[in-house]
Amino acid sequence: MKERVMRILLTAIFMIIGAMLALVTISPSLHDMRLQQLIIFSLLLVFLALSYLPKFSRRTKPARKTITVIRCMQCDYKMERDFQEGDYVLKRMGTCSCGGELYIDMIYDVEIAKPLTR
Amino acid sequence: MNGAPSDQWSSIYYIVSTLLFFFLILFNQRIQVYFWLQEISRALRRLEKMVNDSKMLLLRTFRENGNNRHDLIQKINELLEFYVISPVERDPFGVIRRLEHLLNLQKDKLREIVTSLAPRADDIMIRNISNMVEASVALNTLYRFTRHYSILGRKTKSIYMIMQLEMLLPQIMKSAEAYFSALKAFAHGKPIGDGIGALVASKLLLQAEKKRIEDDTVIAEVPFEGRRLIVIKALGPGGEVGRPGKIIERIVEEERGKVGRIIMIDAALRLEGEKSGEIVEGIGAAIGDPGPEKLRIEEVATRYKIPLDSIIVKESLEEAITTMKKEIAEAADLVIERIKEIVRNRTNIGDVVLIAGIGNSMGIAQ
Repeated sequence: MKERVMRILLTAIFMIIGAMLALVTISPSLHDMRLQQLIIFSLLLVFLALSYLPKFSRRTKPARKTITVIRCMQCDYKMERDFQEGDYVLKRMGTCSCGGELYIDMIYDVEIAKPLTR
Repeated sequence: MNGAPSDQWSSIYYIVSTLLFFFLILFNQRIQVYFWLQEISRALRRLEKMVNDSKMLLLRTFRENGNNRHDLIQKINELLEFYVISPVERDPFGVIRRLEHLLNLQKDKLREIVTSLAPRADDIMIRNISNMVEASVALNTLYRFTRHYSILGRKTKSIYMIMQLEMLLPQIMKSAEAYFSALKAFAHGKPIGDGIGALVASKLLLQAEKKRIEDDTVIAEVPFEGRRLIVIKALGPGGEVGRPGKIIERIVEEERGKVGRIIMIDAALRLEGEKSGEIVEGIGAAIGDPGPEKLRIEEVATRYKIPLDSIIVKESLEEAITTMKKEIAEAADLVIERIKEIVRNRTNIGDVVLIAGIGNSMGIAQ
């Protein structure tokens, strides 16, 4: 946190000085100054400030949930539901309406679509 | 005093730019080192938090499994420092045999400690907690090494040491995040990406009669178009990798070398830019163990000149040790189709074919 503040502060200081110098350069009362030198100097400070900018980009991991897929050994019945504690692949889950045995076929993670925020 | 404003500005400009020029020449490296050190400190704080969270997770798991000791946190701290001294490699004779012995001892010792710390845990839970401990040890090791080089860099003021550590940070953090995420999957006993081989094997032996054999491994015989398929997988649904090398060697010896083909299925690390869940076929023993199991398979296949096929499913390190992703799980059915194709086209009717589903069988029974 301290380092972040330091960087932002340093960047801000250089940026402000650079911007002030740029303003002074274009002000009408100082038209006789060495414009080129001041512009170069201002740009130097702005570039220096930019080089100290912290990495603002933060990786955000998408939310995920675990799905359990249940199938029947005899028919095409397939059901998906949220993972429950104690689930494991090939766990027997009772009997299907066709009389076949139900079992857990797969357990996997999927990304949850982000809810729309205002 | 009497100079024009432009002259005054010129002088100021000259002095400041000269000062800035020398300041940057003399101190630029120090400024850079300062920022590198800040970056390292931030990573260290994140690592420390991950280690503490992993300890808390272990503490909660042990408490839930009947441990009420007051010194539990101290025991966990000791457990996270667990180490295995690698065998002498200067004299390579028998190094794999010695390594195998040490790995077996490590597994037994960890299980023994976990059993004593979680007295009410069943066999499946003990295996899962052992996996949690291994991930926590790896996380703690990353933290300790990062802290060591950070302090050493500050002490010696060695720019090269600090620079190297800073440059390795993205890799270190990526591995640490992966181990940390893995802990949650292990705590709930969910199948992990590395278990794709075990998932394929379990689908193959769905309706077959299974036989639990030594070394936490399961085998089953599945008839397929006139061939005898012998499917091998680690015992599940607890976190277990079994001893597929030893079992393959034993079965080949029992069959007196008359095995038409060995097909191995495993997860493999994908490179950046490659797709997760992609299936690739190749030759050789597809197993990511430190050596002993792979050596046994290669030895026996070479001795009896048995063709050794492998099918890998690509995934990243993080995907391999965290809950299995949909695209990886869905690859299992495609792998089975590949296996059937290999068996049909490259073996003869009456052949014995060994199919080994390699990987951690956490959350995958048989």
